[in-house]
Amino acid sequence: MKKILLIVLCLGIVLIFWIYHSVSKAGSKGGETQQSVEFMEYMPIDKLFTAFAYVPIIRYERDYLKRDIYNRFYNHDEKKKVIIGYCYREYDVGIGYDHPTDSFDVLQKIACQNLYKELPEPVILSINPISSEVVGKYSRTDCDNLDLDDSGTRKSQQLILKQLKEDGQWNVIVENSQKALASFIRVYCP
Amino acid sequence: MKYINPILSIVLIACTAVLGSCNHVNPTKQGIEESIEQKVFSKIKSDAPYLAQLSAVYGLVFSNYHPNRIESDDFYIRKDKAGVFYGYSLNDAEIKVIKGKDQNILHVRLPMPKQISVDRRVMSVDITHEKYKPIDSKGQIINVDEWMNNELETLTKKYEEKSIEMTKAISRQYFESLSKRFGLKLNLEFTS
Repeated sequence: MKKILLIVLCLGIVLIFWIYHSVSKAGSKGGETQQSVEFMEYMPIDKLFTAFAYVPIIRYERDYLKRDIYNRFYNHDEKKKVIIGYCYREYDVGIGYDHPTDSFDVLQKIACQNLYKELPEPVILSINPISSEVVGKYSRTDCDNLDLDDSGTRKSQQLILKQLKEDGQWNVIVENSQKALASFIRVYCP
Repeated sequence: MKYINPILSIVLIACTAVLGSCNHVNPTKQGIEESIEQKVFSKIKSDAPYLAQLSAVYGLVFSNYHPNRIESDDFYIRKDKAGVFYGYSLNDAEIKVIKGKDQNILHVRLPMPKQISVDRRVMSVDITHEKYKPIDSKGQIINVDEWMNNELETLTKKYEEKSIEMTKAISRQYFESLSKRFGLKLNLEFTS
């Protein structure tokens, strides 16, 4: 009788451990599914803002000094002209990439080889004129026309880009933006 | 009694095997999480040189105009440029993968981005009469560099919130891509 009781007790212990093991295994399902985590689907990005610029644009009206009759009537040396008025406009400018993931495969090849300087340059994504001023002999209409949206383009956009390039600020913006773009693309490098 | 010892031995071996297999579950799960964490760290480390600082550039124009009835009017116009960089050090960041209920979580705590450096340079000076010095309404000569510095300080204060938000957005987009890449749910916060 003792033997039978002992065998039943032992079988009971085995049964308890077997049930515990089964329950533990069922509970660990969530952990096991984590093995298939690496998928290469990328996250599309509409706009990636990488830089911000506050750009004043100043356009001059130039003429000869009142007393410089010689150049005004005879010599016409343009270098002798001085400022007689100006148009001054200030802009908030957002810079970055528009739908940068559209050509994902091409960009990935470049970014994954650490060739970030070969990535495309950013573009001006937004322009917000915040103030304007006309001083001296400069036409107010000409000044306002800088932001006239003529068939989707405005002169201010070209002037802002030209200004940033002339000041050498565009190079800094481009390098920083290419690095930022590379960081997103490199996430998906194999 | 002679059967008890063999039976007990079998029971003990069975129990050991069952317990062994039970204990084996947790290290495997931890191993997977640690492996993902290592991959995430390795990816961040390789991307670190590109991890974004925001470049904010400011153009500054000082203009001074003095009407003159006999002579031509006086103009003094000076243009400066300034570059301001915003960012943070990844050494101050807290990044870990923690187990979630349905999905593992990429937990990222980043320091609040701040101004890292300022660089201001004179670009050009246009003047009508060479000897003219810019004067204020009281006839006092204006310190143009002091004016430029004050103007830059005003501008950086005005756009500081926007610049910090843009820097945060760049980081957020990066870590969103990273978490999606590794099938993790992102929990990102910036500490003040």
